[in-house]
Amino acid sequence: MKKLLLLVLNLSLASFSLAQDSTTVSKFFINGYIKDMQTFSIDSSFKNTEWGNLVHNRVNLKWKPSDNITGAVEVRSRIFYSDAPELPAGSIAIRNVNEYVNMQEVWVNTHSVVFTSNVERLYLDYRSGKFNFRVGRQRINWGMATTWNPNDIFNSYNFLDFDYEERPGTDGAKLTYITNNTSSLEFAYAHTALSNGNIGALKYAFNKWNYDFQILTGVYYDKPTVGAGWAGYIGDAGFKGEAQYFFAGRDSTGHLNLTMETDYKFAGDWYINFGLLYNNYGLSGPVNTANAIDLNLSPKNLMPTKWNFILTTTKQFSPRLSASTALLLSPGTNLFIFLPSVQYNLATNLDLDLFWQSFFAEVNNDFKAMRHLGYLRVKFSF
Amino acid sequence: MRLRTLFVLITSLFLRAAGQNATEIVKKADDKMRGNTMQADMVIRTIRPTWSREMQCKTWMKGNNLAMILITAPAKDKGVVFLKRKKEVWTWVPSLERTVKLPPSMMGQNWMGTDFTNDDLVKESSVAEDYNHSIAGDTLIQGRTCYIINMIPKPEAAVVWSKVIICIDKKDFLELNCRFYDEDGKLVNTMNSYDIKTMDDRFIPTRFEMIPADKKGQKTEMIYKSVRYNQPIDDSFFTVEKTQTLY
Repeated sequence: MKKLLLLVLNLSLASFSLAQDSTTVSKFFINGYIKDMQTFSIDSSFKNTEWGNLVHNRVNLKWKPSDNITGAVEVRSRIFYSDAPELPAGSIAIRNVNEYVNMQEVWVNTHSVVFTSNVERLYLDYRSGKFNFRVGRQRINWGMATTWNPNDIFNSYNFLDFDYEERPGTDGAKLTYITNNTSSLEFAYAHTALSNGNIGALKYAFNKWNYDFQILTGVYYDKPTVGAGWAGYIGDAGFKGEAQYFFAGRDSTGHLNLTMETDYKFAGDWYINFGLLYNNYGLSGPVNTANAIDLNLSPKNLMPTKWNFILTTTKQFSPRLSASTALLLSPGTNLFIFLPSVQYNLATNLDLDLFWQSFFAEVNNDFKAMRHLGYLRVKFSF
Repeated sequence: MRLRTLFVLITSLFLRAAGQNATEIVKKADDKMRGNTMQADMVIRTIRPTWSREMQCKTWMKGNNLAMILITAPAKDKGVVFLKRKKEVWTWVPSLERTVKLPPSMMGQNWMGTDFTNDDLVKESSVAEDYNHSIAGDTLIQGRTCYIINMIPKPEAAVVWSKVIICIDKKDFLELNCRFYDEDGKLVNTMNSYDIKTMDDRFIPTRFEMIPADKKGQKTEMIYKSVRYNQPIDDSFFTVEKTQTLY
């Protein structure tokens, strides 16, 4: 495993010279990025601050020996430094239990510095006529909506983790049969490192009345599940939604996640997206301790709270500068998250981004700030 | 009375013939630019007073209903694909490995930060079918005599403009100038076409600039590096599945 990682890291350095004319190398493609992100965290009392720095590299290699076959390897490496008294930096060295095969290497793991690499994708893809078969570590993304994706049962998107848009992969296989130009049938299976954590599901996707629809059914962590999603529009506004139901087990009740959203692009490059999420397992009343609000999200637990509303507004001031804010409110628990960001393109492949996350909640009848996080990121894409 | 009826009849027939004539001119020019199918490699340059950005893409088009655009540069957008099928538009985002369906309100808005709209790129509306046309006069552009044609969107057409004035070269049917007006009748964008040369089997402009009316020093240029017309492309090429395999 170390050899593979070292090979890819070497290729990553070589790619800076290759990247310029990568399209001319017909069978072999390489791209990726290197990011440096300064992180800043303040607790609710505004007294304790923590600083950290994350160097983050991703290298994506694609090999196309013929029109039908594609091989892919993607490696993500991170060096995290933190001045925190405890060891929050250690958390990035924890392996992802969704991955059955351990392809992570922790190069350095000290009190304040962690350096780790992981093979994020490693698959072979075969296409022939109406069939497509992909085996290995891959991202199986069945989401249709923007913020929350109940149908994305193989690996949910945590919308707070803005720095990891690719999401982790799962180890498994996927077979797609294209029934016609507007419909397909897909079976996917993911084998995880958890004893009863495997996922197998069948999805049928089709297009009707200018809407994309999908229905899916399968087994998620030993429990049957069914879901449906749609993406279309009402007038000129987008209208999307997803619902997923996990049937009751011996020691649990049925679990429903439902999201709906609408979006619109206004003249002057204003974009607005309004969405809601209902999670029947979520908290619906005030909490006594901030720890009750668990933001470790999973396909079953897309939000810790029952009712959630999010309003995202993006304004593009110029092709180089855009700003965005998201306001998330979970009534009942009175959780409120404020997520502003600014994106600035310094040069063709160089971006400077500022992100902020402020968390507020009502704890013991007292609505207050819980935590503020700031991130300043420079990203070079190649 | 009879004479008056006859007069009205003849006048209306004459006007209808003239209208058809304008429609035919627009259709001829449009068919020339698009062919039955069209594949192009192009550079899109967004120019602002103090800086500019360049993007490269490949496009495939078939009729009015099917279009695909693959971005090949810059690195951070490489592999992004736009697919249009009839009135629906999707984009494939390779970093997310996901297809996102776009709301119709995106169509009239700027495409990827350029001065071209989504509609300009994927041609959701058809200059020939979605408008009523009338000849408004003649003009001289780049030494070529052109028809000036007023285009008013048909009531049922999904067009963001209230009026488009297009100038088409009389000899070679080249769209040399196009002005787009908003609902208040205000000029929004002007498109000029240059660098007329033979590409593949036809004589066409190969550089287009879109100039927003109210923004000084701003424009976007689109330059054809290569174009191929009337190569057969199967409808199954224009599918969501295909967007994932182009890069």
